[in-house]
Amino acid sequence: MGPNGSGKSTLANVIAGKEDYQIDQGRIALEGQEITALSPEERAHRGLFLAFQYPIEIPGVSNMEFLKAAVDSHARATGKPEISTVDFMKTARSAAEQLGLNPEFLKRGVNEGFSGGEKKRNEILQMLMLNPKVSILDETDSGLDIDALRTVANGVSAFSNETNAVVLVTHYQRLLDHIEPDFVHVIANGTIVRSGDRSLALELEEKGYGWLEDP
Amino acid sequence: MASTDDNSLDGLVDREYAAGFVTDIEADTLPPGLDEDVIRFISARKNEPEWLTQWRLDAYHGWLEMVEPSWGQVQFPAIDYQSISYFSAPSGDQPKTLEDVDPELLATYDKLGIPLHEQAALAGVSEPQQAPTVAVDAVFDSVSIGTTFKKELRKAGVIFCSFSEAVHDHPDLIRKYLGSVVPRGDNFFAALNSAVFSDGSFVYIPENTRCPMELSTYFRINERNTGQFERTLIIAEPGAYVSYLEGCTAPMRDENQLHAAVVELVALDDAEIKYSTVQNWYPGDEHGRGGIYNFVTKRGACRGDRSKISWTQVETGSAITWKYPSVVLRGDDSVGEFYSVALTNNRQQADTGTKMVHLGKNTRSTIISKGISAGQSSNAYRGLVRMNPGAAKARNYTQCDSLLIGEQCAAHTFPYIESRRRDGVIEHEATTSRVSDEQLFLCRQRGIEPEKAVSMIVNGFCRDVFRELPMEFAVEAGKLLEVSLEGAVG
Amino acid sequence: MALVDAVSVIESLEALEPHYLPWLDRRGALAALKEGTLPRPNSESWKYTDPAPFFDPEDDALDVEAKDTVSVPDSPSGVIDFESDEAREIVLSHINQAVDQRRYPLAAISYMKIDCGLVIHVTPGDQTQSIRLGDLRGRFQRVLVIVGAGAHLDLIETTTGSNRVVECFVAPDAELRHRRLQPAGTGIDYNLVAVNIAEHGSYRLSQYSSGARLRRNDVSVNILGEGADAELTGAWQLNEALHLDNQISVNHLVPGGTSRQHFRGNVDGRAKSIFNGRIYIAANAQRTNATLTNRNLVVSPEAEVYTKPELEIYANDVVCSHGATVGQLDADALFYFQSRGIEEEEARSILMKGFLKEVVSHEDGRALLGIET
Repeated sequence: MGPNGSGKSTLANVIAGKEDYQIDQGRIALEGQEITALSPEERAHRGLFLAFQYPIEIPGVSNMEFLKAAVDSHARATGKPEISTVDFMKTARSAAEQLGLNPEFLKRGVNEGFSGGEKKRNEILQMLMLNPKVSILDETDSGLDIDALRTVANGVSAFSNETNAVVLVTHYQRLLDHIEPDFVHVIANGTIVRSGDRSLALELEEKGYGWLEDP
Repeated sequence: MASTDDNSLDGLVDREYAAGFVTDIEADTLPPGLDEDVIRFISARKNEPEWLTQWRLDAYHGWLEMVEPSWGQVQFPAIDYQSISYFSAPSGDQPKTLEDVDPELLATYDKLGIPLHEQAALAGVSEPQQAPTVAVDAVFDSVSIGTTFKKELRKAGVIFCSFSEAVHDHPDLIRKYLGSVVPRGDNFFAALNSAVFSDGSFVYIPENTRCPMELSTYFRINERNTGQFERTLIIAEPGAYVSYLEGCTAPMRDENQLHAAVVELVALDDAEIKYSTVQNWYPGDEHGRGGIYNFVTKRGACRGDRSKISWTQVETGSAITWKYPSVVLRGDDSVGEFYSVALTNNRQQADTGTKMVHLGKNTRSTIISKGISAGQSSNAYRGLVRMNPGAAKARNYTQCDSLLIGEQCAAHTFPYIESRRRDGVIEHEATTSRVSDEQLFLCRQRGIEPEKAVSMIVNGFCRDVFRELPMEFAVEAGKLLEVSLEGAVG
Repeated sequence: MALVDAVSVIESLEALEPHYLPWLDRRGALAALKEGTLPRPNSESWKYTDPAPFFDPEDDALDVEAKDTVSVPDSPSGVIDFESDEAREIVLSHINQAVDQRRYPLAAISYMKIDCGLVIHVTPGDQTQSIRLGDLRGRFQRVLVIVGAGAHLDLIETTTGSNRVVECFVAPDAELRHRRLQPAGTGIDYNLVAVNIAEHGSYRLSQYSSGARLRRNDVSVNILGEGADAELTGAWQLNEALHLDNQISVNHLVPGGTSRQHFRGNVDGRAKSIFNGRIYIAANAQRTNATLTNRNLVVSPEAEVYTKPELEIYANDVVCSHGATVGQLDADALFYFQSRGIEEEEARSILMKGFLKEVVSHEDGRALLGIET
């Protein structure tokens, strides 16, 4: 969590390997393995997932085709057999329904003509299909109405287990009404200034971010 | 097949080439140079009737008066027309076994998913004792495919043979239609082609007949070395339908640099011709050395009412592509369509598009052009939509989009719109965009490698055109894009 | 179409002994003409308009009255005649800086034969200027419009039957609003507007035209600074057998510029409308955003419309689009009017006027086009 401009999204994108940024200092490690020098797709193959704050459109490329390419690519990289098209489509459809998305959307272009809420749910769908070890959800809750928020939260909660980790990046507290975080870290001016558990989130809700700046 | 004219023709040829030149006939390839003797030689070798020899000569004389055009957005060093050999017998220089074939070529066939025996056919491998035509059938593993195919066509009354065969077997048709869509004097390269054309395809679909299968030049590969000046003629009688596939996805290396083909299509009342091309001629190396110049004149005449001609092309090869498959919409209610993907990489140049000329009433044309430029290439769409005063209620819709990959490529659009009709409707749109960093990052974050990501995005960009290709071609076209874009992503 | 006799055009120019501004160095113009920019048969830019009458004008000098149609406002900015001493420095430092003489041979000829010139100069920071430019005394006119940094100028120009070149220089953060009225004419008119826009400068052209026997407008806008913006709007109503040829080129030569072109016209009678709108983006002009639309309504059976929206793009990080349509009035709209008792002819007239009104906001423009309410 953290106020606007604190660096949360930047951190998320740097971890995912966006090439616009240059790391001056420090390292990124995933399950003890250094990934600082790896390309974005290599980091993805190691189990990293970023749900974008502003998911982009890719016209002409269907959601189905895009998802399958991603799933197949992960399978190849981890030495697993590729899933058959039939099984893949079954899984994709049921995941879509679980998230309240009409499975017909799978035929449309990636995010093409999607509302903000649909785009965010499409990100979660991809997360469910790729089953990553570490997921970073960048402001996934922004732009969602109450129902969509609940659906996404349920999806995330159901997905979360002892073998994976989900990092929710947000500056609202309301997502946390539906999901119980194990840890809460607060970023201000590019540094983690406070860590705690759910109660920290409640305190922020009450007192705002300004409170953190007091020594 | 021998006509009664043959003996007298042979005699004529012998007399003409009495001293010196006769010995040259023994060779498989003529020395470079172009003059009347060369043309007579070509005509004689094919046993052509006198009227056709004269037709060629008239074209040649017309060509001599013409000036090579220079208005395209393409640049190339001057072509020395006297340094080209205008005849090369098909049986020369063929590899004997697959081991003799360039391994890089085989690797590409493999990548494109073409099975081994077909690869051999494409590479022109021949059994030592047999002539190439027979070998192709055998290698295709199906003298059976060959015969079934020919039997079915014969049953339907469809004629599909080489242009040279058609000159002998169907002279009336050739005489009636040759040069009626692209006259000899139409342009510089058409004139040259009319003088020295080697061979090509002839297709005739009789009335109310739907050609039972897609006709493909895969079966004409044995004629490859004479493909430099191809001449093709397709005639669809009233109510006929044919889908014709030209080209090959494997990179066709050829020492001949200039390819100036002419394709003429004639569609009569209620007939439809669908002509698809996937062309991947050798594009030259990354420094722009070598590579084919593909200067083609393709035109369809919608002569009949309610006739339809569709051109679909995927052009990824050639150092220079300069072609405008066009449709003349003379028949009332006739329809012309042009769907094109032109990809240029490294230092390739393309100046391609279409001309839709509306003459009849209630005619319609659709143009969808997708240009993709990568490397340091240059890609131009040049189109003409013209509505003549008699073209009542004519309609055109054009969409030209350009996709730029990399920092040094160029994309241009030059659409000419000429309307002399009050009730016509012309709509033209064009956009230019690039593969954005955000799109690439999204794909990569999902684990998709950057080259695969670019080719997926480019495929999506070309969706509207690929949809129009016959299925076999659509799949190969997609793979072809991937292969052609290699190295384009920095 | 008649051919342009390039040889005799150049010979007559070489023999010229200029009386007006003899201190002007004309050699560059002659060199540009000799390098072969004169129209040849099948010249792209003269494809639909016969160039010969433009290049071989009749020798009888037009008897142009010296009209006092340039208002000289009281302010630090001024209008200065080329022949006055104060003009010399400005003229020497600005003339031909915006014009590509190789691309526009008529401008090169006009430079050689120039017989009338004005400088319109707005001092930096001056936001108040509004200047009217009408008939000038001369057949080969040159107007230099210089808008200083942070200044604003409303220029209202009426074009006349002549050869006129207007060169505009928009300094950083300056604004030039150029309204151009072209009443119907009977002669051979040539007008070139060439504009250089510096960073964060803005140029707006609103051009309202009728046709002439032959009327040719060349417009060349050079985006020369980041954040520079050009908006070109044009509307025309062509009747009888009048002719109008608009050749527009917006040239993005540096990164970060934006431009929009929107041109519309009604073509009636036996009139002929030619439009060529080009967006040119140089290799380093990244992050350019440029659009162009041209819409044509063809009213009569003999009207002719030729349009070519061009894109010539050498940079890859750009957003660019263009659209062009040629068509007639929407049949549904017509029927709607008729169903309310309005006769077809009146309905057509209202709809056609409405088509143009969408892009014409100025009263004088509406009056010229005959579309006042």
